[in-house]
Amino acid sequence: MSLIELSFEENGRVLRGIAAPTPSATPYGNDLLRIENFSVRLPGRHGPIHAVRGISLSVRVGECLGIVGESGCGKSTLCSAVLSLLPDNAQIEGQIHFNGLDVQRLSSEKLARLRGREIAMIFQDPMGSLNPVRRVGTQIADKLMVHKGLSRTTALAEAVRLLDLVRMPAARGRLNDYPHELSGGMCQRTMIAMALSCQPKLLIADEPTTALDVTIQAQILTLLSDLRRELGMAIILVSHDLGVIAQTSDRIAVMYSGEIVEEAATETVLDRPRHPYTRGLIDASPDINRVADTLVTIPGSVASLSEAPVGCAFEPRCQAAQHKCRKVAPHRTTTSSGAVIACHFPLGMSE
Amino acid sequence: MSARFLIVRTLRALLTLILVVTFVFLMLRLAGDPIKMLLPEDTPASVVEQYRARWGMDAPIYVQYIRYVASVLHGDFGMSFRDGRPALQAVTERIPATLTLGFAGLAVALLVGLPAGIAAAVMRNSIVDRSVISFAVVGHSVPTFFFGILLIMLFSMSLRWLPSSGSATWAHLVMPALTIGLWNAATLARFTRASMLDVLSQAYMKTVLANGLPSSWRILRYALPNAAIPIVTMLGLIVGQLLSGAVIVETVFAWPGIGRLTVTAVAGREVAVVQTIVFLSALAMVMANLLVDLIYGWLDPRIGSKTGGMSR
Repeated sequence: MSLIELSFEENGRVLRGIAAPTPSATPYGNDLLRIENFSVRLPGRHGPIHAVRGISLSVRVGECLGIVGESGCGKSTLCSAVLSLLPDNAQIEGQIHFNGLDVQRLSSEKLARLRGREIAMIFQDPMGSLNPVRRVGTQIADKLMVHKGLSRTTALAEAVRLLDLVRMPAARGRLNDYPHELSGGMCQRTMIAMALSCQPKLLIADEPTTALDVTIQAQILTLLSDLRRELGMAIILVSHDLGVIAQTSDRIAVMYSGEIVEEAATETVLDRPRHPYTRGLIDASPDINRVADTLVTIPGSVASLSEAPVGCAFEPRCQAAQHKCRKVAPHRTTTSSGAVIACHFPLGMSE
Repeated sequence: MSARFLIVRTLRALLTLILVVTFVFLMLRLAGDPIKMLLPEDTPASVVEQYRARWGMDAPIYVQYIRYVASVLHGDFGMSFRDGRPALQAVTERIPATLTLGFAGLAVALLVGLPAGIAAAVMRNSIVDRSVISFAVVGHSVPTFFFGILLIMLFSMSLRWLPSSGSATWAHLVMPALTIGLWNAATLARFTRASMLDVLSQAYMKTVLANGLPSSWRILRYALPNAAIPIVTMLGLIVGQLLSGAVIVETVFAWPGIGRLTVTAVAGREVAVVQTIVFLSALAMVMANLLVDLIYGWLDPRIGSKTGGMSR
């Protein structure tokens, strides 16, 4: 039986058994994940850090959503929140619904099932994300034993198949290796194999290629795209690298200072960016076909997440800023094409 | 773990032992003339010389050293000045009592210290955590002789449940084992807590959470093996120390172990006996730490492997 068939069968069972959508889930339509007006405040040394500020976002079944933004704009905090992995002292507002389930209100048992079977996550540092004193095969098998009730022998056999699925060279021989015996790319493949082991409906990839060489980065991104097609799972791909996002995503959400400033289909964002920050990100991406003496940058630095801005958070760095931007925070508006933008003076409107 | 790792560690242990033997030899000679200390001050010089010749202390120091090392290698640690018995025999007959007390104390330390430290780390900043920290601070700051006397006052004098001194029955073991065990448990709990907290904050522990594994797996299979190295280091020191006898606790409870022998031997200027005790204590410490090194290699695949080395 192929994994694809298995996964659908499994999904059906999961839907009935664990994640049975409540009637209120019907209006969600195709939305697998729906984040509504979500805010996170984390305690910091100098007062609370407002890492996520009223974000609304949804991910459809089988879709790849790219979230792009500079370091420290709250991307990882948002990802951790989806799996309810934030520290206990985080102050949370708003809601996250997955498949009709309110993620923050799940019992610890249901939360463990959600984390294991429904939503999987891979991280920025693949070497540091695997337990250094446990064999990689055992780490994959542990998850299968817990969530699928397999015996250790069966689980290890399944681990080989999963490692094959993620194109791990000489998969069988890798089972008994420790993470320090693998390269960074192989560690990330192991993480992906572990993530896929219970056929999740959503994979959250938080900067999955940042710690890897460029060639390995391309391999991992191709692998993720292939697996998404083969398994029909949705992906949230987070990166600070617009190139990485552009290559893989159907839709892009641009994050700045804990907010989503622009959200639209990938081509729309790349061809006709509306927010000055998005424009800046695109211009700042080095173009291999262009020899440049100086690299284009966005002036200024990322806004501090501790102070709440009165006006637009991007205003101090924005070349198109006007008086209104300093006084009034822009609201999110949805354009006729379905794109969402939070800017008083979107690009391409006056021209 | 490679054979090379084993050999290197064993050779290092041997080297340590040789250094200890040399150090003890020199210290006892530098600390003053043992013959003069043994004999009354007004002993005639001829008698002193006679004793010196009898104990081989008239020879040049390097000859004494070679003789000493040769006799140690033959298992001859000299004679007790007091009763003329071999010093080794005087010490070894105390070993069973010391081992009994040492391992009972270790068991108490492990049974109390490890779970307390783990619970404190897992429930950080909770009432459990604060209680464990308080226990660790108090447990380690109260001197063992004081705690021992408190136990005697409570269980022997007030309640009359337990005998206060001697080693005739198992009941005699309870109080000295508790005294040693709880004191070490306090240290162990602090080490375990700190080490577990460090591990729980590592990136790979977030992976375990994200995979939805049960807490028992998370803590016992994923966190504890990583936290074990500093704990095992600490345990190595505790074991080495317990094997060389507990001077104060054995004295308080009149427990006939090596610790009490140390006190009487030092008071009686029994050079050979003290030398033997120091040698055997050093041997215990070295063996305990060799064992710790071997356990490291087993606990952490990165140690002693060809590719990983000691780097993290």
